[in-house]
Amino acid sequence: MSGQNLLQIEDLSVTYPSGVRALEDVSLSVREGEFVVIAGVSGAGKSTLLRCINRLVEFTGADIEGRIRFGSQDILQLSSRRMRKLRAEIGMIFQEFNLVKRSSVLRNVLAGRIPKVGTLRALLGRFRPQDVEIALASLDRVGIQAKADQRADKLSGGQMQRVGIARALAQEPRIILADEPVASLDPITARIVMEHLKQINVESGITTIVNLHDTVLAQAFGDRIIGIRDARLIFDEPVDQLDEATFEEAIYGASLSAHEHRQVSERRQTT
Amino acid sequence: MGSVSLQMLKRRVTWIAILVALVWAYLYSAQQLEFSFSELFQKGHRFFNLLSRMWPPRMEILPQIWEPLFETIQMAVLGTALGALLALPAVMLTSRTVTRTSWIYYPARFVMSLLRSIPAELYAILFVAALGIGPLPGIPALTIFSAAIITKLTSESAENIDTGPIEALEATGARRPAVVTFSVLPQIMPLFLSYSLYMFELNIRIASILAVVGAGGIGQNLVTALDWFDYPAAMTILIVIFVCVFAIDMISSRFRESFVEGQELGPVFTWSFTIASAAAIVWALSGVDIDMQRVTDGLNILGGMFTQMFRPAWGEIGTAAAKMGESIQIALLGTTIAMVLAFPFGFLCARNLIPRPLAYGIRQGPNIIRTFSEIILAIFLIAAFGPGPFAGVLTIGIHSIGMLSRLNYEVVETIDRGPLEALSSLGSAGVVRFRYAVLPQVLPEFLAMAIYRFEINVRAATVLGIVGAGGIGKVILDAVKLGRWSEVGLYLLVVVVTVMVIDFLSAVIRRKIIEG
Repeated sequence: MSGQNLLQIEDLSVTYPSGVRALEDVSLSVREGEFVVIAGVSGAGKSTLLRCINRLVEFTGADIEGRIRFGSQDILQLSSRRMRKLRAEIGMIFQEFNLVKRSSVLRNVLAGRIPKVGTLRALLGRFRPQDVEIALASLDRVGIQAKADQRADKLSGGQMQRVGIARALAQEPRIILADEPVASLDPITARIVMEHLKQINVESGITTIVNLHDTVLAQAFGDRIIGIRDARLIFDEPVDQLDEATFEEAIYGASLSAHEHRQVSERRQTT
Repeated sequence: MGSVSLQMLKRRVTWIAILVALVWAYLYSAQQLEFSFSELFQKGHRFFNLLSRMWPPRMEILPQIWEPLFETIQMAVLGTALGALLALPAVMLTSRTVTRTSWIYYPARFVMSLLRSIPAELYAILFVAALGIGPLPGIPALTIFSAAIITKLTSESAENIDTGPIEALEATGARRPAVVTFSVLPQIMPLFLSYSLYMFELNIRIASILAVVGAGGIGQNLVTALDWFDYPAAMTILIVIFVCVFAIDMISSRFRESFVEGQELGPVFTWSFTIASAAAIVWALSGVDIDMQRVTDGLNILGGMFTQMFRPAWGEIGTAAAKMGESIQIALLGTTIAMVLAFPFGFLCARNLIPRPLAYGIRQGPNIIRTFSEIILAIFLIAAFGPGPFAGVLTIGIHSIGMLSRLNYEVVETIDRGPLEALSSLGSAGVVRFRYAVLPQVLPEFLAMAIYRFEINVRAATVLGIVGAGGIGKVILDAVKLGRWSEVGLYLLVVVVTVMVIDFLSAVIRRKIIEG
């Protein structure tokens, strides 16, 4: 499970044009093949953190400081052209699935192949046979290959998210970022979707970072849990060393004072 | 308590101010245009005289009509198809969700609203001058106008699309064109097609009268029949236009419903729509003789025209302002009359207030009126009352009754029934229920609709002069006939600026009214 560092974030701070400080000096690193859960209430800064890794955050006009290394590349220094190339290697899964509802399931998944087939071929809809094969295989891995020809809005929420996962898989990514992938799903469907994500991580060794606000799911699926609160990283521990009560308190508890912040970070340093 | 009554007082003062302003504007315009209802009552019988002389229609002229009728439809098909083709990229440039670059987005929007401010008939005048008489100049005129309207309607809807898929495609590292093709296009395509069909319905109406400026189609037969005082033949042509417009509206609205309802369009639907459209375009191309020599010559002439038009003859600004003022006054009088007369229709056609069959029956009145374009109405009213602003005001008024009645009853049908039930439970009389539960809900909307209609009517009033119903259209046509392009340039500039300013003000006022 422990490979080399794939992702290294140092002193990351993000300020939105509205003046909101979404992240404050966050540092962490993720090794190749890890399954990391970022836990925190909504508004804590989890989504911003994920969107810094593929720099989607810059579309909001936010100001980003710090360093993010992905493999050998310095993400925040890349030209937008190089960044676009790099995004092809980063799969993303969204809370609201972000499927084109009027398009077929297959076409939604094929969207993940666009960077590989090239813009012109994509515009003409001329995907190569191997792209269709990869798309169908991706659907097969999440168990809904049979739905390939259906329109996306005909699916249930859980099925839609599995299409979302298939789209990310079709990119053949080095890392998958999942932003609250099950927050819009019922508990049973949520488990199924999380199991798919976990299984993909175990079988293919694709590094996965999942944002979750649900502490129960976070502990059930994460190998390692990173807690974010009020724009700061408040802990970063392997799940088996996590004390459930402190965890819940740290994520949900009353707002931390500056003093408590210091306590938490001191405790982090001692472990 | 004091602040509440102050607020009520403020609102009452605002309403009274609006009413006073409206009455003053009406009286002033009526005096300027020498428009009075007594004149209408004195001369009203002339219109019914005309109608009685039109009956019975002369059906034996039908064989001569098919050819120009087909020409009309062909013009409309090609104008719509080309317009839609141009509109697609224009939609992308004028949608904030697609074009984030401000220095492209804002100029693009400006250009589109500029193109939209000139009515198709005025474009047709210019293209007839460049390309010569016949259906050929009608096509670019309809194309430009259609592109502008389709773009406006579609990009307004495109502002509300789901932006999630855009983000998802962006995250895969796809390039911008691919992102748009895969995430935006599938979402706006049904609306785009629906609006294009709607435009086709409008274009049939416009194409049927473009002949008044020499751009071919069935309008020519109508004008000739009236010139020869052959009223029964004119009636026959009117009936043909009516049936054609009605049939196309019906087929087109069927398709539009399927697009908008968002259900899955099976392959049968998709294919039949594609084949029907392709067949219509091929048929239209085969019918219109596109002489390349004429096109290249026309482009040269057009180039010369435009270089002169961009040097407006400022000396004529007085005439331009006076004639534009006349157009605005015609629009104002017509809209006010229509607003008053459409008021009862708003309730009489509403299925939630009047028994259904009765409401449907009453609806047919405004429905029939709406089928005829302003120009056709104007031609007949001029035949009855003689040329001048009087016929113009009546034209705008009658046509707008048709349009406003429909908008009004649609408003009435969406009212909240809660207050009605509350008052019924108190045992209030029907009149009281109407006054306190219905009126307050619909009055602001009615006023907003009338202002919106005024905006459209100003455009229409700039065109009416072409057939002699007063306003700036007449001087534009005259200047074109004499080849005074720098004058034409000035007049068009005045039209564009006025229309854009009125559109802007109207939008602001309407928002104020609706938001209270």
